[in-house]
Amino acid sequence: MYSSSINCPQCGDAQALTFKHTKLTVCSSCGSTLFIEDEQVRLAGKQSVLADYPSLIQLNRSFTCHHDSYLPVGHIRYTYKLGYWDEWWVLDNSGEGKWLSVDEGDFVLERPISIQSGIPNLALLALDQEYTILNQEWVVTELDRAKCIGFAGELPEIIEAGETYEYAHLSGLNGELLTLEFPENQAVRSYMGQWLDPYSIKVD
Amino acid sequence: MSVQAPHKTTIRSIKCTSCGAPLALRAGHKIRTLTCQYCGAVMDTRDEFAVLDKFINQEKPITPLDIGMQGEIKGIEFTIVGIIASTAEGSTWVDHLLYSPTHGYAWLSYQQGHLVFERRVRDLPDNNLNYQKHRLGSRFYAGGRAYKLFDHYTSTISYVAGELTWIAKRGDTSSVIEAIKPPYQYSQEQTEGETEYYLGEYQNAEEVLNSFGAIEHRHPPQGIHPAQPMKKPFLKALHKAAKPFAIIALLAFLLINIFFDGNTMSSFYVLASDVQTGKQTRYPIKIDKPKAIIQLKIQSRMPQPYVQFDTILGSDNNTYIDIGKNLSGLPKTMKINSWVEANYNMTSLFKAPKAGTYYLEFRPGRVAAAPSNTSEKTRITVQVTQGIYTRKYFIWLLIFSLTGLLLYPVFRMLYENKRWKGAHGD
Repeated sequence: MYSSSINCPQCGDAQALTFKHTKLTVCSSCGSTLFIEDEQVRLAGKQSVLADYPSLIQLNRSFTCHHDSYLPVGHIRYTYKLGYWDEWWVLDNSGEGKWLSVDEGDFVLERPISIQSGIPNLALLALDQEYTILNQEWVVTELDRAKCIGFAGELPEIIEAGETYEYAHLSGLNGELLTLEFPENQAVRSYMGQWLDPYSIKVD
Repeated sequence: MSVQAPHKTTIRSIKCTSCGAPLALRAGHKIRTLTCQYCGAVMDTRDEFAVLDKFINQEKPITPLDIGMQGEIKGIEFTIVGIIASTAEGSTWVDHLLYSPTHGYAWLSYQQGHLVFERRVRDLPDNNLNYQKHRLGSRFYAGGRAYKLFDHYTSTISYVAGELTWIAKRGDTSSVIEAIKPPYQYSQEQTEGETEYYLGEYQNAEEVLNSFGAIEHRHPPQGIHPAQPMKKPFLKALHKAAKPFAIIALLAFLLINIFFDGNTMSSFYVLASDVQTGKQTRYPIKIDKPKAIIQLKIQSRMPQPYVQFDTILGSDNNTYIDIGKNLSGLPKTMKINSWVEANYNMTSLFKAPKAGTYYLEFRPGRVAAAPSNTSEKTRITVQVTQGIYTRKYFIWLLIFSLTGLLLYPVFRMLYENKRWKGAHGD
């Protein structure tokens, strides 16, 4: 696994980095948010501590699921119409990063993918509509707006508390999931993955 | 910036918007309705608890569990937040909605004293489940397990209370296909436009009710639940332990029969009339391996009641072989009380103290009836085999080990017959 470190410009404390493409980290000593761009560290204000709710997944505590091992290194909490959910940036055995979404016992593991064409227009998306994306049939099962309410650890993208974006969840015929995120004035982000059984997760 | 803590972990209280009774909200944000246990009002948790429906005169189903109880299943702490009773084909069961902040929602199903822990899974069956196409007992795979189709029915909701993740109405129906691999069960539930799959696991009711503090309300389980595993730990252990012994006994028995059947040293017949009249009563037997086990086999088809013989095996200097304890029913003098009435065969095993020629001597015994002409020609056949390996110990071992091996499958077969009597197949 990748290993590097930076010094927090606020308190000077060394911060270990476990992911090569980390763009944002929260100083574990002073809680400052640090943007990392081209090996330059930029202070981006203070990050408050995320409220501690009961969770199977814990930051920097590895877990296994179906013989695969994961290490959660970053954590974002979002709110949506119904409540909140947690996104965990986890690194697998090979050091590849994936997003693990956890919402009241629903666990979904997704990896960022690139979709060149076929992404429907946000304004035209509707629940239960069917689309063919990446030569696969998908049905829109959820449409909502997410708002970031806090983050911790290392993250592969720069995010700000209070940031919002529209998203769509699409389900495949065999339990696959496709998530499309529509941040304002930015390119659509897409992720594809599968449901994880929380009863198969063993925290080390 | 400060992060606002969503209100999730504490119990919230509200008043029923229909009757004003105090109600608690224990689950998370996926709860869709709250049904008042007192007046039956179904309230929309996402619309200011507006009353959507009302279940009038609901009869509370019989269950040892109740809303608000907390306990552990599979090491996870759950709270009972809702209850649904359903009926199908004369049966009633009660499903308790469980909530865990870490594992979400699950069900604890109670029926006739049996408890099954169920949760929604995303593992689809390897073929489309259709009870019209698939017969009872037909097999399919889901989530790495092979299930057998057990039942199909249409369930109807008869009672609702507490929190639920959807808007349930009394009289709502769903089509259920149930398959089993005890202690697991896999079910497909189809409602209008939606198909969901559930994985169930049969629970030790005593342990679960104890954990939920409801053990005093326990009812003894009745009959065999479809997902109930057979609990015969002693027979199972015996079955496992007996397997190597059965194999050893069987192999030993076959090896002895094939390779260690001994050498026939003498084989002759004696006329019963010769013995009876005293014409010839002594017959020589040569033994050249004194340490080998010798088998003396005497057979006759004398009609009875006829005559009783005593037989003696002696050495050439008139000393008898002391055969010790090995020759059951015979005195140490080798006097062989051969056959009683109706006993036509005699087999004796012994060891000779030294090599040499021995004599088998028949001593006429009590005459039970006058010999006829026919019976005078009756033959007594004698066969002496040297180097015999006794089979009886292996036969007993085989009998015991096979009994130990087969008891569990036999009990299991009877148990499965009882289980499958309750299955419905078209």
